[in-house]
Amino acid sequence: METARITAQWEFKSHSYDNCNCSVSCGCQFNEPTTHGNCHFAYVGTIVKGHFNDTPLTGLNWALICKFPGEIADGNGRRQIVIDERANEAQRKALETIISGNECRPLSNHFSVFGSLCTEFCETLFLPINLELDLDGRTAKVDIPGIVKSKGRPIINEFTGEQFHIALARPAGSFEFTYGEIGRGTTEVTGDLAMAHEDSWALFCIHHYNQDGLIRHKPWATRWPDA
Amino acid sequence: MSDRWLFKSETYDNCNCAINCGCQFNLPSTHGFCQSAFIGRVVEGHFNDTKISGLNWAGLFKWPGEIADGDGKRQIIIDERADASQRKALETIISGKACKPLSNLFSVFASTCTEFCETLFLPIDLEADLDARTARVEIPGVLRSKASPKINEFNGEPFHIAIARSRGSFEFTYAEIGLGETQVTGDMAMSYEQSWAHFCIHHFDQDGLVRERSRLTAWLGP
Repeated sequence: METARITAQWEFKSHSYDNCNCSVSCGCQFNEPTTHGNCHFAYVGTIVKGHFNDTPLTGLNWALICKFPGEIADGNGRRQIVIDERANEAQRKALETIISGNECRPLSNHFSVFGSLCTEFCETLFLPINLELDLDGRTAKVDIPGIVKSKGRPIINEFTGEQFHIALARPAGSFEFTYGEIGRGTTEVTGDLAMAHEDSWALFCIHHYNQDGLIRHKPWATRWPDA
Repeated sequence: MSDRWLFKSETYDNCNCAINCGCQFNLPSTHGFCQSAFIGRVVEGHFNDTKISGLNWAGLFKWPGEIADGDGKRQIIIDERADASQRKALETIISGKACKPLSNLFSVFASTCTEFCETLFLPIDLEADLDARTARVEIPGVLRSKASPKINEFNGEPFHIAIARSRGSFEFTYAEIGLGETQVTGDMAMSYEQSWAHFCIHHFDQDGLVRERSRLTAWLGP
């Protein structure tokens, strides 16, 4: 593959919530097929630390919505990016570049991997992105007026009625995270990428990338295991 | 329940589920029923005054449907090197007795079993490398099993994923995942391949899980 020279220097550290249409044992995480033979998802995040060259990105929200007709690896995906309307011109361009999977070592983060598997790219939207996110509590509430409504919550143990606490750790090899808390989510998307799924896989993680790939941060759950 | 005991085992398990075994996520099993073979080595342990370190053990389970629906069948195998009191101690723990009810895996599984095969005392040849996600087991005449990391279908590299349970588990706080194959003959005859394998430290006492950080999490740093 011929690749463009990467000249940008950037960092993207986001607290992120994802809800896809798979069951909470989402096969993609295990290098297995999806639950239903296709993949629909909505990622929504808030940048806790970030810049693109000289442009600061901290504090801005973003969303990435994708639909794949079959397995993600089989391609033909459709993608839409939504960027915080508070972003200025330079910030909009920077965020769109990163979330498009451009200006990075190819396939070195999930934006680049997903971008490589999409063939239809809807117009990027600039909208208010209301996001309330608690990574530890595994809760999220998203409202992007006219486009996305989503809610994430912990899994409830069917045997005890208590919150069921499980996380995936990827000591090596992930293009997305080293540690992801799992919950359930419900999402409705309207517009170009209309989709709806309910009580399905939700991921709460930190995306921490630069132009070269994952920055291997220590998982935030430092009090783990709980006493 | 006046017994005081500690059971810290480096354990390998291979069940018949896919590598995203539903039980781990409070979901149904992959095929609608569960068959499982646990094999471990006690690295630290005692039952009252009886030391059990260095001994191997196995627990074989078959349920006709979901584990929670019961009617399971169990067989325990204990290292033939164990003396009489060690045999009794290990059988007690692996039977899920002498503990706070349902406070560990053995107790939960026992509560869903209705048929208990004769406990066997045999050589248990176990080579396991929990970090590398590999295992090889032979229990002559009863069990053969081996496991290795899943190979990433896209790049041919070992696929590295682990499950962390910071609270709420009756089995582990951290488990590495791979793929295994097992053949069992005798009372618990079963066979499966390319299915869920996990590598974890079972660390229980009479009250439940001992909340010590697993050595397998060293990659997380201090």
